[in-house]
Amino acid sequence: MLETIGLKKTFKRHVAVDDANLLLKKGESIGLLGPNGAGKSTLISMIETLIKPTEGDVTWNEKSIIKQPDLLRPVLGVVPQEIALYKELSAYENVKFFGKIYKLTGKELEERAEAVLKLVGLSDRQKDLVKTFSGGMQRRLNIAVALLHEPEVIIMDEPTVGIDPQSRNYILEMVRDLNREQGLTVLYTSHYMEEVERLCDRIYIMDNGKVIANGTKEELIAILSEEESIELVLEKPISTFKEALEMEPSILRVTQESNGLKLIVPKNNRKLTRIFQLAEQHDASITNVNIQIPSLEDVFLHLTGKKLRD
Amino acid sequence: MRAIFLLQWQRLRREPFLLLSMFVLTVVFVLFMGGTNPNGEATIPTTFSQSMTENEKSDLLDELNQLEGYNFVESNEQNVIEEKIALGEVAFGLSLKTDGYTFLIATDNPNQAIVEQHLQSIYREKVRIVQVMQNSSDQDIAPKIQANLESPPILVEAQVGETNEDFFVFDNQLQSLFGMTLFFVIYTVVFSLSKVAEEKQLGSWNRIIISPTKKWQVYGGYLSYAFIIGFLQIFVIFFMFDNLLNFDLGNNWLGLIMIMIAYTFTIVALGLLLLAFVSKTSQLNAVVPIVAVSMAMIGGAYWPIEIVDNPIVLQLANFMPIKYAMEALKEITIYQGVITDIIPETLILFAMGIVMMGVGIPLMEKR
Repeated sequence: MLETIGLKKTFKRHVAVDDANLLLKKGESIGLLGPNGAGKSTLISMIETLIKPTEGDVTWNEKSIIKQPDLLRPVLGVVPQEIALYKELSAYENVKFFGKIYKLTGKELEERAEAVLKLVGLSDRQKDLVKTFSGGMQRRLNIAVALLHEPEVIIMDEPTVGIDPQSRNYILEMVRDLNREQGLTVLYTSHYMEEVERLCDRIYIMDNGKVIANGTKEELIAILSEEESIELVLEKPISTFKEALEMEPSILRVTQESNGLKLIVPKNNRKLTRIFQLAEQHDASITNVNIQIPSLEDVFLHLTGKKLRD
Repeated sequence: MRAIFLLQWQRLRREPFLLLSMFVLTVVFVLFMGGTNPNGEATIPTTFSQSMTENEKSDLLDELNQLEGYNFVESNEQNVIEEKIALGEVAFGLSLKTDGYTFLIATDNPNQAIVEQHLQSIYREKVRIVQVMQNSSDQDIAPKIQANLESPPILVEAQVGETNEDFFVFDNQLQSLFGMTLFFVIYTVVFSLSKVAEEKQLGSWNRIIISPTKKWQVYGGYLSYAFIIGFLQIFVIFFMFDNLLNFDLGNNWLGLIMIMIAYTFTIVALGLLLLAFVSKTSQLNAVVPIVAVSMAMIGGAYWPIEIVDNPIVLQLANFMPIKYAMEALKEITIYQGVITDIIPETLILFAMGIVMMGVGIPLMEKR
């Protein structure tokens, strides 16, 4: 069981993480969401024992790893956001080097290297230089390296950034199998809400250095149980129409979408007639209207005031 | 530590360009600055005044050519010499008369002082003989002086000074070889260490740090690699020039190796210190040339420190590792010193290295 207790990190006057409490039970898969600059990376770095917190503690099986990082390090796998590989070396050479620094030797090292390369589907390209790999293949190898020493916990920091949908799907399936079938405990951060929804048992949402909500997907969506969203598809954007909607007391929030506007309104109080009246007044041509129950994305927007990929 | 050390060699094998270019640049610069002349001699074109006889000219030329390492060549036209100087084909020229000499120069050159010293001694003797002849009433004084000069009553074999503090021998070949090798090895060592900055940017540093590998093993891997690569570069270049290009490095290879070890250690420590101040490879790329060039200039790698008389520069030179390495190398080769002669320089280099490492590692950790 990995736990952070009242974790705080300040850099000079800037508070990067403030009173963060996070619990990762054995075999659980946890998603960590937050806009850019929310403090996710700092929180992860403290859990990974890379930086020391200003206040608070991180425990592994109820023992502090701030004082004894070696309790966690041998059972921790880390997939950083960057492609932390030597691109001038082959896939096999990379895997072998990282195996050696985890004190794997001889036959055991050979077997583990083969196993992880097979797991990420790179067995047939193992002798090729990493710089010749596609982005997706490099990401897969980045994960393979973290799994070499058979960790109990894996921390993945946006492991699917900038790759094609097929590779992304491959990685998500692989992580889900590792979690569900092999009992690997996963802490996963992503900018893709659907990834976290698909993979994680529980989700933590961070903003401005604080954990502002946590729970299962259903629990989080329940925060918006009193609200619903209306998506208006417009022929062309009309700024005065948006401003008029924002002034309307029955509309809680208006956000600009690529093809129109998204309104959050109280449940059972849609006032569609009023919306159409305003559209007519401002010469806004509505081509489509969708009424939706809130999604995790809406919860995120509700809590942070920002979109996840802002 | 072994895994990290071997990794660096593996990476070098795949991307050897930077290291090879430093090696090639050293060889090219040494050949260009110190060894383009097949005899290792500096050619000095010399004109004579028209009043001098052919015998006088040839005697003077013979006397001039007794100076080792220089080849004085007669040239009929002063304007041809001036053109050669302007084009940089020769460093300077001479215009000689019976009772005096003129240097034809464009810029200062370390050879000039040595040639002038030689000229002064020749002309001083000439002037003295002329004075004796003028003051003597003896009609046959000239043949008598000539006879006495050819078979002197006492033969004096003089050696000036007892240590290199008392005199300074300038060997352009060795100056260039030592200076350029010690200069370029700074780049090799620091760029080898820059892999640490690169790894930090890449994220692989964090991977290594959270592995069970101890931090001292990580540093040990990188530092030992940078040390060996730097040492080998100096050793191979010295060995090559000594054996293939006939540069005279003498026989005291143990002493040379001692200096190579001490200097490379200090440069590795310097590299570590520089790394502690920068966070990106691009910053390091900007800092290294500034540090390396200024160290080489002040420390006497480009020109002999012995010709510098500015007290500020001389004071600053005391803080440059390159100065001590140059001094020790010259002591062992040019002055044929023994190992005990270079112990002070070697100890200073080690002390500098320990101080820089002592500051560099904690600073790097803090960042």
